[in-house]
Amino acid sequence: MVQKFVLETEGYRICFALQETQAAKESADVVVELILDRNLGDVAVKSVPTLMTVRDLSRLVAYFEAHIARLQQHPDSESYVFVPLELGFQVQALAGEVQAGDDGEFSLRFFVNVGESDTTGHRVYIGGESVVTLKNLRVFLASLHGALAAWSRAHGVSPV
Amino acid sequence: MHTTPKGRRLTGHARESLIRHGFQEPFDTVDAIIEHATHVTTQADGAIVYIQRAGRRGRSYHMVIEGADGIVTGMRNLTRHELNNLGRNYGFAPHP
Repeated sequence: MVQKFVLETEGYRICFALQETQAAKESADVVVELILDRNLGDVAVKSVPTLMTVRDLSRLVAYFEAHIARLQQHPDSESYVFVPLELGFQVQALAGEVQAGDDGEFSLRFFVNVGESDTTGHRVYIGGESVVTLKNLRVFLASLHGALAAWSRAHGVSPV
Repeated sequence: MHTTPKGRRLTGHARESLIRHGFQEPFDTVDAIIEHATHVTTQADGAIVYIQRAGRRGRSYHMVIEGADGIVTGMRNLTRHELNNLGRNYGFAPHP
């Protein structure tokens, strides 16, 4: 069964499509799709299928939560580039304005790994930058929390 | 139990991920990267990271990660930027 998790920004949305694999209970098959807002053009790019570990999903949640906490004190702070172990995508949380609760927004740079170049074998990333509201980010994080809990129940795999 | 030709254990994750990253069975390239690593370091979780300079003029990197349960993954033709990102995310020093 494919589970989808969507992160909505002002200019694009990111859809994570996760599917269980037979080989490893600590990993899921994932395709990440970046879909441009329809008003801006008819563009959608999908990553190559990669594996994503439960630990990576947990790290992604922690990455965003740490960024939100930092922005409350330091609105200009830019987090490091988050990558999962298999390099299916890159995301970087940038400067923004965040108040307590769900009031706020920050810029988000997101790239998906679309495959390897023919000449050198280097991976090629396509992406965008736009503003994400805390409200939309919280919806995404809540869905990931749910997925992590379900994963833990089904496989007994701790995300840490 | 699945192993490389030199007897290194492969985790279930590695058996899938190595093929996706262009390694071919029986994964002798994994043994070669480990044996010809130009830099060996340790991740924050204790896994060993083997890095081999490769490509034209040594500007790419091959990498294999080996944890307590065996080979975790391997990747070829990493750019310096990708290697640095992995080091920052997984807590290892990507360069000597």
